[in-house]
Amino acid sequence: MASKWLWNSIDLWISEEDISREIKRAELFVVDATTSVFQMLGSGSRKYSVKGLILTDTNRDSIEADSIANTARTLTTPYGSIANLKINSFKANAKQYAGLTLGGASYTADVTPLYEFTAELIVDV
Amino acid sequence: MSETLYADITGCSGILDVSVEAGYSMISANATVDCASTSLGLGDAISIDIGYDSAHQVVFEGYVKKKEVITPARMVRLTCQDILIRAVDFFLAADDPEAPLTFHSTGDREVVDGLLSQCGLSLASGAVSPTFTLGTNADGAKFNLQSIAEAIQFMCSITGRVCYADAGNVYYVDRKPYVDGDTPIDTWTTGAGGNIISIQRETNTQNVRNRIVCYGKTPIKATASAANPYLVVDQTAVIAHELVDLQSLAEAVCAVNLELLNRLQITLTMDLLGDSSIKARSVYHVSNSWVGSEEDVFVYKVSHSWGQSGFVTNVTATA
Repeated sequence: MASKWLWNSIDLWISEEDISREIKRAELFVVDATTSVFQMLGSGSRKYSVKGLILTDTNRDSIEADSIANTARTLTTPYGSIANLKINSFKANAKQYAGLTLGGASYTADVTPLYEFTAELIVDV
Repeated sequence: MSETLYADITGCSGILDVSVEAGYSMISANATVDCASTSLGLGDAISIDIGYDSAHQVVFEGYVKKKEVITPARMVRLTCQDILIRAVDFFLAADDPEAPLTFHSTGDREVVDGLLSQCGLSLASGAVSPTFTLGTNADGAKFNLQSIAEAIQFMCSITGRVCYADAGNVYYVDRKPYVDGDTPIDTWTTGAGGNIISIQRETNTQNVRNRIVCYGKTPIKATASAANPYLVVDQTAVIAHELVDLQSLAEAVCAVNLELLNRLQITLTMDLLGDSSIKARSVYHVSNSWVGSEEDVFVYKVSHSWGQSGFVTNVTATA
């Protein structure tokens, strides 16, 4: 069951969220040794991968506009909000549907386009 | 074993890659820094401190000589050289060609110091022995239409000495490019606890010279030679310059260069786990049975590479 999140003021119906963080280490091999030597360079930023539904072309285009304009927004989740997020990648697929009720409101395909989207969000201050 | 890499460079943030190179035959050490942003501009002083959180030190002090702003990588690349770049960039051109910079009956160290003073540098304290005296005739030893670095490198070629900068000081010393009764600082080895990532040992006679000929101010000339079991025929080096104006100086030039050049060349090229304490002109012991190396070596050239691939020190050493 998707829950309602907000990208700035745009409704997102999120079904999946992954949080990842890359750690950068060099691995070096000493001749005839039996263990590696690791050199820690640093860690990357936390990345949020989200998947869910958005309604209307207007909302889809607003999110896409934020991605290409490198605009920082606040993501509001049921568990709190995360500020200064930017969209690192965004993909939306139009879905066929007969009728849909989200957050107590009903939608039909001939009036309201529905998109399944995936996005990667990064903290960039 | 896991170490955390460390880098602190004057006026630079978001440091991506650092490369520092210094060598026996390089009058000026150089460095390249890739970073996200910098407050430095051309001619600004820069200090490079790299290594690990647990052990790091300044490996380079010098000036920014080139600044490149690169996109789409959105980074800045600084190319830097140490203080002896002043000697490289300063070209001697007297206002009056009949009155160039001239030294009369002056020891080689004082000549080098006098040349350096032209570009605002001076030698750190120290002495060399024996003294090679130049400019003993009425004309004196004249320098014109060459850079200070070229003049000093010529001085080094006739005396067998070396001029270099370290930690902001300039030295002119008797330092042969091979192990000469030195005590090694440490041992480099393979296996558990070792630090050698790769090693290559090479012997050749390409730069060996067992006969030295010196032509000085007419009619000064001298020759020195010695047997060398590795050569198939005598290989000769010639040093010719009017600055050599005494027979005894010509003979000393031959003797010094014969000692320097009439040696089998044994060269080790190694990649080591990054170690910012390794400097050019220092002596270490190398232990690796596969290449047949159980010997002390002189660090002829050292290159520290710090960055996205880790911290590796490349050494070219002579035994």
